Amino acid sequence: MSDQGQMAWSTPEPVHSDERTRGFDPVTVFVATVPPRSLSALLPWVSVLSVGDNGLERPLGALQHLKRVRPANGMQQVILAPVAESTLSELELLLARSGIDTHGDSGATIDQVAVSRWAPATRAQFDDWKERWPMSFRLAAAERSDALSDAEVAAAQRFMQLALDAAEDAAAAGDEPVGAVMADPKSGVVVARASDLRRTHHPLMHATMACIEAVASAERARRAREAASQADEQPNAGEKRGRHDNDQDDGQDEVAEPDEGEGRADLGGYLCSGLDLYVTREPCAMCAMALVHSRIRRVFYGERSDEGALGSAHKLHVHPSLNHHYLVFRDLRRQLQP
Amino acid sequence: MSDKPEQAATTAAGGFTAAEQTYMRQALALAEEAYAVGEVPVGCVFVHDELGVVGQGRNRTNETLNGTRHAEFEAIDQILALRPAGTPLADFVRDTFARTDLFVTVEPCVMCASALRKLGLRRAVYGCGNDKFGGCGSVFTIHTDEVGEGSKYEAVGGLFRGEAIMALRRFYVRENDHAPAPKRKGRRVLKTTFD
Repeated sequence: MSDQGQMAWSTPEPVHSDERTRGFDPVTVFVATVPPRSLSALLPWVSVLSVGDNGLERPLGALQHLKRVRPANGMQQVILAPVAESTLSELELLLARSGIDTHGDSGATIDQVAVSRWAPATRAQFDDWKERWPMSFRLAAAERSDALSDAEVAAAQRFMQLALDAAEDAAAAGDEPVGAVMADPKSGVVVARASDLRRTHHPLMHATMACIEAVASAERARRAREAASQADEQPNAGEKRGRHDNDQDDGQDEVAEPDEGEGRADLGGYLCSGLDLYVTREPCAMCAMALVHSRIRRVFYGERSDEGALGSAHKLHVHPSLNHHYLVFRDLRRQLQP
Repeated sequence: MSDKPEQAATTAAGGFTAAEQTYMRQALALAEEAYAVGEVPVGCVFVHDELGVVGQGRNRTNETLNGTRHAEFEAIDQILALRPAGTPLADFVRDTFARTDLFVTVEPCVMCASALRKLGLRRAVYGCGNDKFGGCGSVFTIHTDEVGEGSKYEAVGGLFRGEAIMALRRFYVRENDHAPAPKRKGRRVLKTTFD
């Protein structure tokens, strides 16, 4: 580690869903520009246009994030309908019924305007897209929760260094150079650490899978001790320390228990609730889904992988059909300073 | 009932051979075993074209406290334990799974679908689809993705679909009745018709 002074950590970057990263995606709508005095006559007809098949009002179908009306140079502009769902002649007729002549000298016109197809998921999208047409925005809870404090970044670097050490161990053992660490962010305790075993022991024992199993085996051991001590009705002081007492030479180090005494009894079967995983390489689909099944809280990874499922080939952690989502941060790695 | 695979001359109802039906019946029996001990009722068998059934498994996530211990993983561990001393791991995996088919009561989830690809499985036959986690067509198509470790494989569903669904429905109705506090959805009723 002679070059340690020149190494620096890169800043972890949150991996967002496509909904949060996409740019402006236009959909063209017919917009009526009318004198302010004509607006009240027009709006009832516009709402009639908006009643869906089920009889319920749908202000603009899939475009409910858009404001219906905006002022423009002393006139009022009203979204009538998406161009794909209406025709100019139909809408001219609608305006004529409201007493608005789009061919006369009132200044009333019908034009096409490109507006955002999607509701904004981030403040940046909102600030950009509302310039095209006013829209409403509710800050999602997800956007508030993925800002890392300085203390969290420092802790993340410490945990990732342990994962890098585990990756070195894997390489030294002739296995895939990947390492993983499971940590409890509340207590700062390392719950489990694992090196990749796919080449030397088991083709599916990637570092992440080995780490999940290490957490499970530690919890099984803890429960067994608890059951034994209850049977004896004598708490065993030596067992209470509960670390490194059941190490197997299989690369799955039980480093410490997350919470002595309380254990992890409140998990409801979901092993990694509240825990964070640090892994040196982007998890594949198998490992990313294993983390869904384990109800992981957050994942930090270093290198990206073409077949990775947390940002590269898939974004499994935010997939709408899955019953658990988690936060992902990537590019947490040590680099040589230029 | 023989463990030996056999190519039936005629195709049974639903387009599956008699041998395939036999293997799925075994998988369903394993799902029942899971149900009996409070695990999500999913079972599977792996069938080698020469050796017959080489691995069988059922869900063990509650017992192991590990949400990744699906039926497939349990059975795969049995197969890996068959590796003769001296045979390199990668060789054994490649040579074995290239001649092995999976019969599983529920479509493999994304995790299992990806695992089967890494192992080089030949073919997966499943009972019912999995519209939440399915990795072989329902939600993801891990088995045929261009990107991914391992090799693509064929996956076909529908063999004893009704039996597989009924096992899951009975499980979730029972879970609901055992819940300490009533769930929002209220008391669930066992539905016996299929869409």
